[in-house]
Order: sequence, then C-alpha cells, then structure tokens
Amino acid sequence: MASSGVQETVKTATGAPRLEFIDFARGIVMAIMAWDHVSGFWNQYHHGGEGILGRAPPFVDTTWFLLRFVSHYCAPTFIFLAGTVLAISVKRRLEKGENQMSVTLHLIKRGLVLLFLEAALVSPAFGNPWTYFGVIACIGVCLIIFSLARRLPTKVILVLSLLIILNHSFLDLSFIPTRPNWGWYLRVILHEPSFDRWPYVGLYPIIPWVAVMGLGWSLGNYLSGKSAEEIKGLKRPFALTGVASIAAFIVVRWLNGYGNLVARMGNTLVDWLYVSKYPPDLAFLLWTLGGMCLMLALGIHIQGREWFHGGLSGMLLSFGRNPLFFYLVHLWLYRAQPPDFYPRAYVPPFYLGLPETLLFWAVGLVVLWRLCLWYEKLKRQYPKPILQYI
Amino acid sequence: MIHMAALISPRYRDAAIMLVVVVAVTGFNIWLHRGDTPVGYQLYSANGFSFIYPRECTLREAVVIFRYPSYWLGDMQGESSGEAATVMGVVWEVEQAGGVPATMDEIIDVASDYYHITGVGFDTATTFGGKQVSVRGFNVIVNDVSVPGLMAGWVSPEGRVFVIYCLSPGRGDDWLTFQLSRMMGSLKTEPPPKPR
Repeated sequence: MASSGVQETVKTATGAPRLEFIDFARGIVMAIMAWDHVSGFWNQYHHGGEGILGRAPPFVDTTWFLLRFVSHYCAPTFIFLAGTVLAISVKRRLEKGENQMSVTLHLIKRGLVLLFLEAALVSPAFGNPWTYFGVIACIGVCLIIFSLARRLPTKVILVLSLLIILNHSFLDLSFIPTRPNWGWYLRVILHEPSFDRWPYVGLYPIIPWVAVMGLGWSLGNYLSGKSAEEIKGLKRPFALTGVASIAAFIVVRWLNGYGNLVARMGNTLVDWLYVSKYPPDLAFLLWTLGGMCLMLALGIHIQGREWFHGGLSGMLLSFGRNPLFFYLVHLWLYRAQPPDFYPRAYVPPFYLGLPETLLFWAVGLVVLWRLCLWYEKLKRQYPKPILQYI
Repeated sequence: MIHMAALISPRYRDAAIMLVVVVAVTGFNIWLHRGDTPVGYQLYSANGFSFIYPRECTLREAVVIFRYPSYWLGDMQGESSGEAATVMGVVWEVEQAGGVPATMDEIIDVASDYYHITGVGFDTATTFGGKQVSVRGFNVIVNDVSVPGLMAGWVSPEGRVFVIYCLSPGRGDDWLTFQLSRMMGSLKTEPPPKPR
C-alpha cells in the first residue's frame, strides 16, 4: 500500500528527485514536536518557556524535564531545513526559467500566508492572541527577508548567519523604548521573547532564527545539483559535524559563561541540559543542530534501503514531505477542543496521565500519517494555486 | 619568492577568510562584554558596594533587621513571585568581635522572631569568586513546608561584613550555592567616603 505511493512521492512537483534524508530528519522532529504539543495541551507537569530573559522555571522531576527537553530539536531543525529546502526550491525555480521578480514575489506571498496562518490557526490553538509571534510567523518573516537576502552570495549569508548565532546574545535593544507598546512588541519580535505584556507576546524572535535559516540556506545551496553518490558521501561529514557540535555544547556548558543565556547552576543532568530556547543561545543550537546533523546522517545511511519507504520511516517521510500541513492539523487534532471565544492562557478541561498522553500521541500520529498521504494526493491532483503555499 | 596565498587553493582560502572574520568579530565581542551583567541578573550599586542578584527579585530596604542602608550598615531583601519564588537578601555591618559567624547568628536571631527557622548548620569555609567565605545552611518553615536556605558571609578589606542569603522552595543545594556564588562572587566594595 505504502510502496504504491512511494514512486509517486519521491519526486517533487517539478519532477526533480527529492532529497529524502531531509524529509526523514524533518519527519522525526515533526513527530517529536507532536509529542511536545500533546503533552503541553494535556499534561499538568509539562513546562515551556526555558530561558525567557534568563529565567529557568523548575520542572517537577527529571522525567518531565527530559520529556520536554527532547522536543528542543524541533524548532531549530524545522527552521534550518526550511532554509535548506528554500535554497533548493529557489534554484529549481530559476533553472526552470522563472524570473527573479517572480521568485521574490512568490517568497513574499508565502511569507504573508504563513503570517496569516499563525494568526488565524496557530495562535488560537495555543490560546494565544492573534498577535502572538510564534514559529510559523517567524518563518514567514524569514521568508520575506530571504526574498531579498537570497541575492547575496552564499558565503556572505553563511558568515552573517554564523556571526549572528555567535553574537546575538550581546545584542542590546534598550534603545527601543518599551513604552509605547509598539516598542515592546518590536523588541519581542526582534530578540526578546516574552509573555509579560499581553497581547504583545512571542517566543520566536527573528534575529537568531533568521541566522539558523541562513545556515540551512547555505547547506541547501551546497546540496543543490549534487548527485546521489555525492550525497551518500556526505554521511560521514554530517555525522562528524553532529558529534563535534555536541562536543562543543559540552565545552560551552562546562565553561558556563559565553554561549549560555541560562547558566549551569550545578552538576545534575538537568543543570547541564537546561539551556535557553527563548531566545536560542549557542549551547541550545549546538546541541540541537548537532542532533539534527546526526539525523541527516542516519537518513542518508538508510535512504537506499528497501524498507525505507514503508513502516515507521515511511510514516516519518510523509510527515517530512508535508511539514506545514502536519503542523496546522496536529495542533487542532491534539488540542481536541474548539477555539476559545476570547484568547486566554490555555487550560485543559482536565489533565491526562503520562501513559494516556503517550497513547493519544501515537494514535494521533497514525491519523496524521493517513491525512498527510491524503493531502499529498490532493496536492498532486490540484497542484495550484493555494495548496502550493501549505 | 612564492607567495603563501598562491599555495592555498581558492576554496580553502575563502574558508580561512570566513573563519578569521567570524572568530575575530566574536572574540572581540566576548572581550568587549566580559564585564557585563549576566542574563537573568541585575546590578545593585550604592552604599559603597555593588553586586548582581536575580533579575526577578525586587530589592526592598530594611526588611530583615530594619537597618536603612548606609555605607557601614544596612539590609535589603528581594523576592520573586511564582511557583519557584526566590528570596534573597544582603545584610552588611561593621565587623564585630565574632567576625562573620557573629553577623550570621545575629541575622538568624532577629529573623527567628518572625519566622520558624530550623536546621541551622555548621559554618563551612569555601571560595566564591576568589573570596574566602563562610557558608551556613538553614531552613525556614513556611505554611508547614520547610524551605531550604543558604547564607554566605565575607569580610571586605575596609572591615565590613557582608552576608548574602538565598532561599527557594523546590530547588536543591546546588542551585542555592550557584546563586550565592554568583552574588558573592560579583560583590565589589569601595573605600569609605572621606569626611568633607
């Protein structure tokens, strides 16, 4: 059943072969992200908000910390690979003969669609106001930035991205007044995630995340036009980069100074792993992007196998091929309640225990898998116009 | 003479230039900001001393032993709200005959009039940020819950004793020690003002 759809889905709408190891890595983090959200919706001891202004809210125990910590891979991988896929798709569009202006307009439109989706579908799912600046809105703005920034040489984008990632913690936005509210909101959107002044709230500031997308863009340009053999040869570099990145994470946490927006306050596992996600500090990005590199290496390692398109990896691939559709649907599937008439901090009608939540997550993934396959079919039947944006 | 650059392929040369730019800019920034207040903390600076303390705590004067701050003595306490409320404070006074332990005893005596304090431990000597300090553990009973606390005392060169304490429910000794080491480690004092 799955294999009949496989041959159809391994090519993009333009007929070019997909880089399936990217779909695989993205699929893994989509599934993990689903866990984070179902847990956030239904578990009493689920926490978020690590690192907002250096704060470190306590977790009830190590288990709940780790159940949240594992989801840290999601946003960096999601945004990094969005940059990678963006670079590849822009190159393909240009090769197909599309002109620069049309590509720019396409990216701006896509960015605006994402901003609309964040306000209309994503924010209400979390019980946030439409002004909430979340990951989808952040990617939307990054796409608009890249509609122009893409004209810069890849090396310049790579250097700028590295400089931002390594230096954004020194950024001082105090010259922007926090009264009136627009000043506050601007700081939230640019670099200072906060939930302190409702409705001017957000968790995914543009400055650090556009740099993560920039790294992904650089990788995408590097991968474009590579043969299957050359891609296979990247397994080792990806694995080594991943291991080196995680080793660098250990050094940064050990030194407990530069690169840590949340200091290591002791020597327990939680102390070592408690890093700042909002905004993402260097330690956070080293750990998560290092993990992502290992996922990409694993994807390359198994992508030629017979069973790759079936079973669990087939399911992950279908998630990875439809990230935005998955994102929008999974939120409401796991929320399992209508939107609130007035946005308010989300509180479930009752709490679920850990086993029930895990079961809900697993069943939800199967439902999402079928929905993703259905959506792919729909996209093939009606490739234009609106479905191309989701 | 063969120029070195000619020996390096353009691919590696570009990578080397990129690396140098990134390392130089980042290194300069780290050097430039080496004395910055860490994220999550704010700086207190008055009465001849300065130190950093958790950003979410708002300092109030004369809370514990009712001494309005001046150069030679004073006390301040800050509290944060929320599920992991943190209480921290600093008491300073002219060094007494008993040194740091005497000031610590005094704080516990005065605080015992208002709070149920148990489990006062022995003093242990340690180093925070290059300062030789005495550290003492204690517990405060709040609503039948025992909240662990830690205090550290140090004698400044001008003869003032500074005791910084920190309490937080649900946090371990590591966390308290870390906060104390940050606050005490950042403590800097100035010489007394000269009479005009």
